[in-house]
Amino acid sequence: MHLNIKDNKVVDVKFTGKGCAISQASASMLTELIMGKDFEAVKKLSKEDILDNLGLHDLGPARIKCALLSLKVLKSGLYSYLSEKLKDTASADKIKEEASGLY
Amino acid sequence: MINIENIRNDFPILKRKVHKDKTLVYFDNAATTQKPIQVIDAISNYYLTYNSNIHRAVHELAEEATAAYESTRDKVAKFINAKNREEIVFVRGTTEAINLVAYTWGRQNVDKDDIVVTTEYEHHSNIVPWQLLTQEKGAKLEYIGVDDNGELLLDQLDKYLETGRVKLVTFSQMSNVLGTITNSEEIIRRCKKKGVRVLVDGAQSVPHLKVDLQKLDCDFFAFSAHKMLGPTGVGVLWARKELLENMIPFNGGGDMIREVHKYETSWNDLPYKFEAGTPNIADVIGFGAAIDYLEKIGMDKVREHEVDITKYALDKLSQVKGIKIYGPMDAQKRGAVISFNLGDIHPHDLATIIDEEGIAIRSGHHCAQVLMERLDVSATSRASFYIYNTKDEVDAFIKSLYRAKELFRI
Ligand SMILES: Cc1ncc(COP(=O)(O)O)c(C=O)c1O
Repeated sequence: MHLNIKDNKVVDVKFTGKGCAISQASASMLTELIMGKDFEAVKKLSKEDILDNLGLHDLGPARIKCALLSLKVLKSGLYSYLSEKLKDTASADKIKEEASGLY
Repeated sequence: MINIENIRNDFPILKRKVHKDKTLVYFDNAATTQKPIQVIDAISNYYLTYNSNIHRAVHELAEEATAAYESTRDKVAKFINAKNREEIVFVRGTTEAINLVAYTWGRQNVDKDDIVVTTEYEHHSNIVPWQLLTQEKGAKLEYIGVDDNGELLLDQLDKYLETGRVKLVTFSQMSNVLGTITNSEEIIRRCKKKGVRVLVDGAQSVPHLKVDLQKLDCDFFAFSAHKMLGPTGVGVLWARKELLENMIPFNGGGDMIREVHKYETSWNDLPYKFEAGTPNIADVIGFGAAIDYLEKIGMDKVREHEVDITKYALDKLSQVKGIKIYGPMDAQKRGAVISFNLGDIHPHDLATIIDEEGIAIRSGHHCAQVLMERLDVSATSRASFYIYNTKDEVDAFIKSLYRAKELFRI
């Protein structure tokens, strides 16, 4: 997943990936969801936001991973951005924790 | 032929419905098999009537429990035709058995620049322990490749053996993805000529084929109870007595000792030297009942049934347009495991769709990512059969594949 962030806004976002229908749909939906959004809002995206937008609320433990894969990737990317570019270790650590708790 | 109706009646789970009212078709036997009532009863009977710890106490319950636990060891020895009962070590499963060998024998015998040879169709449990060992020792891990028919390229083995640096060759007797039955006797013969030790992963072979260790002549052998009607949490490491005698213990603790002093300890006899702590008594007893069950049917009959149903399934599957089947197409050369891909439907999607019809298959990389890379796929679907599966179930499975094709418009 590639994001272009300018003036605290997501001005471009793309993803490449291969996988099952749920993972591809959720990745595609996620790119639409964050396009043009404030960086702060993107940081706050949660598991519930993804499942609400997908309209899938009764996924079992095996398939919920498919739905949340793209959010996990996004949060891991934001972690690198926060820690390496912005040197904001506190926010970076928080988002890393969120990413590893997604399942 | 085996009487499938009678067999099915012994498996209470086969009567349940899934997704409200769908009859269960269980085709994920390579992952774990279902358990007959005899196994379930043996376990609950232990807890209900003679639960106690083994080997130590002298009271009646302990005597009964010890006898039952030890009788499984005799059954295992007979089932795989091991020469000595004390060569049978109970562990948690195939994974633990292989790790035990890597940590003990491996650490003692593999040095810098030595070579451990495995194959491209191994389960992760027969790759990762050897990566850990060879990395620690500065040794090398090499792979015997797989040809397009899903069989091992044995010329590559010769190339490695010629270096004179190979300490161990380790391979699965049957691939859990391709179903390929390895030409084990030939590999072992070539290794013996060079004095190289051999470990055989029997996780997929022991449940389905008659295995005769004295004939096979390998050095280490590993398998799991849960893939052969038994409970989870029990497996077997078999190793030649002379090797076990010289191996350092894996776990230290109770039961594996003869005498413990402040700064030194002497080891218990085989196999107890490798069974530290209270073992999984109930499930070892359940495993004994699973072996009884298979012995009653007869492993030749098990194999005959599996070849029959696999041949039938391969025939029907190959008529499905857009299907790609992996591994040998000759049912005599493979076990009852069929991996495939249907068009570009992702295996997880396919498995989800056919699960709606009550049909349980496996999808994913099957703990064999090295093989997935070799096949150039990220995942496959896999149907695997056992003694209780029928051709009617195969028909239901094929029908559900056509439904998936319609849904995905392929
Ligand atoms: C060929 C093979 N080896 C090893 C294993 C690992 O067995 P376990 O998970 O019981 O330790 C499996 C099971 O998935 C297998 O199919």
